[in-house]
Amino acid sequence: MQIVLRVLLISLSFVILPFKLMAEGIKDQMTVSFDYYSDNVDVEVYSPLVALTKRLSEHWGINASFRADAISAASMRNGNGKVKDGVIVDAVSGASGRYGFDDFRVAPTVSLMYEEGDFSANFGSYYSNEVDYDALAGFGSLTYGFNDANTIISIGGSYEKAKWSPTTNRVLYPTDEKTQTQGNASVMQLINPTSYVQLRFSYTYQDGFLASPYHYLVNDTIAQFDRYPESRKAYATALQYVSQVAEDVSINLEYRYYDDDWDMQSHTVTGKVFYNVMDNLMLGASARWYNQSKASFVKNLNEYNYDDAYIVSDYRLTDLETRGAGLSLSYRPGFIEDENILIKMSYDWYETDDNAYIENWYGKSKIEANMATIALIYDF
Amino acid sequence: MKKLMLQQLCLLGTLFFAGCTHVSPYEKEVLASQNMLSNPMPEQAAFASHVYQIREGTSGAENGFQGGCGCK
Repeated sequence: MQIVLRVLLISLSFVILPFKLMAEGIKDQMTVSFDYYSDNVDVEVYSPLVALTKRLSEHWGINASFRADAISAASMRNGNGKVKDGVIVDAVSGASGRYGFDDFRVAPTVSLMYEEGDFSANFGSYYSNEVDYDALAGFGSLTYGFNDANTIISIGGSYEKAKWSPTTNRVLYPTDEKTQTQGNASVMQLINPTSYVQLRFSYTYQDGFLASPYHYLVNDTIAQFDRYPESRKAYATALQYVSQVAEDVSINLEYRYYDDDWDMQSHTVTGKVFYNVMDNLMLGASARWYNQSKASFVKNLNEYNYDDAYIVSDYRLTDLETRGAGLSLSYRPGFIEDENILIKMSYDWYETDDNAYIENWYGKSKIEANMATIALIYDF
Repeated sequence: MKKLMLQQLCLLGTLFFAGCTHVSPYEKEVLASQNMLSNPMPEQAAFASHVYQIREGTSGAENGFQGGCGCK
């Protein structure tokens, strides 16, 4: 029973921990996964991940992972071939800023874990490198369960420092750096033997060069790169409810509210159903709806002029609604000795609504995307 | 103010359950099954969350840390 409790404690401690560890706890394990993304604006991403978790002693463990993103077929439509004063403005990739067919990002992560009784801690570092962007981050969290692990609280934080090196050799003003500080807290509370709720808060502060260095606006009056405020404070609150609604069937419902000092608000509703078809086979289905309001300084594309302090051509700061749905499968082959291999597969569909800024930049009225993941998890 | 009230209401609701229920260790068999995890498919969730962060203008209160990339 102590093992069950420990699995529950670790599995329900969310904040900041890498996803895999939150679900699995500290045990010797290797994960190999492959993610694929493709959309109708010609961005295609192949993203393999290798992760290794090793228990070092009774209380300590270490996790190391390495992710690579290979981005191909970057769209030459981005920017939509705008011409200003007889000059065709550079077309760039919407994914990372490099035009052409091959962009590459590597992202190693290392973290140390400690657990003793109802207490666990996790501290780590993350590095991301791509052709025009470097980021280094540190993160950590503390988790404690009390009242027979009926209540689990967790606090955490992260700090990330990044530097832009635009492939267009554009000099960014007033800085080419970007920092992000984030604080998180969560409370998980059991309601009864078949359901629980979790509440999560996050506070995020960003400063530096917060716009994309590639996005630009061309209208009848101006041809200007995007300009945003140099800081942003954001708050987010999520409430999650998980319950067994029938034998072997669970529902997982979540609502998130977001608010920031750019006057953007968003609402996210996610619903998932998981069905244990057999002891070693679980099927899942999910649906997601997202709605955001625009930043206070966003104007219609043709209304910007040289006097504007801020200029936005990026659809992500505008009124936007998106939706998605997915299917998943988790299978532990019984014919493998020790049954120590878990196979997971998923497919997700995603789309935005029609948006004038998407039309302006990509030449399509909306973005439609497909995602797939396959993962192999080996306990050794 | 509205945001603060929402957070306080949610916290009070969560603490209400803390005060009036107790699930004993021997009653946690269902809670420990895979489909009762808050995130039964963490690999899918991590990738999807990364895509949402890239394709949408807001993020936060997620189920884990996501390092930045230049596409956000």
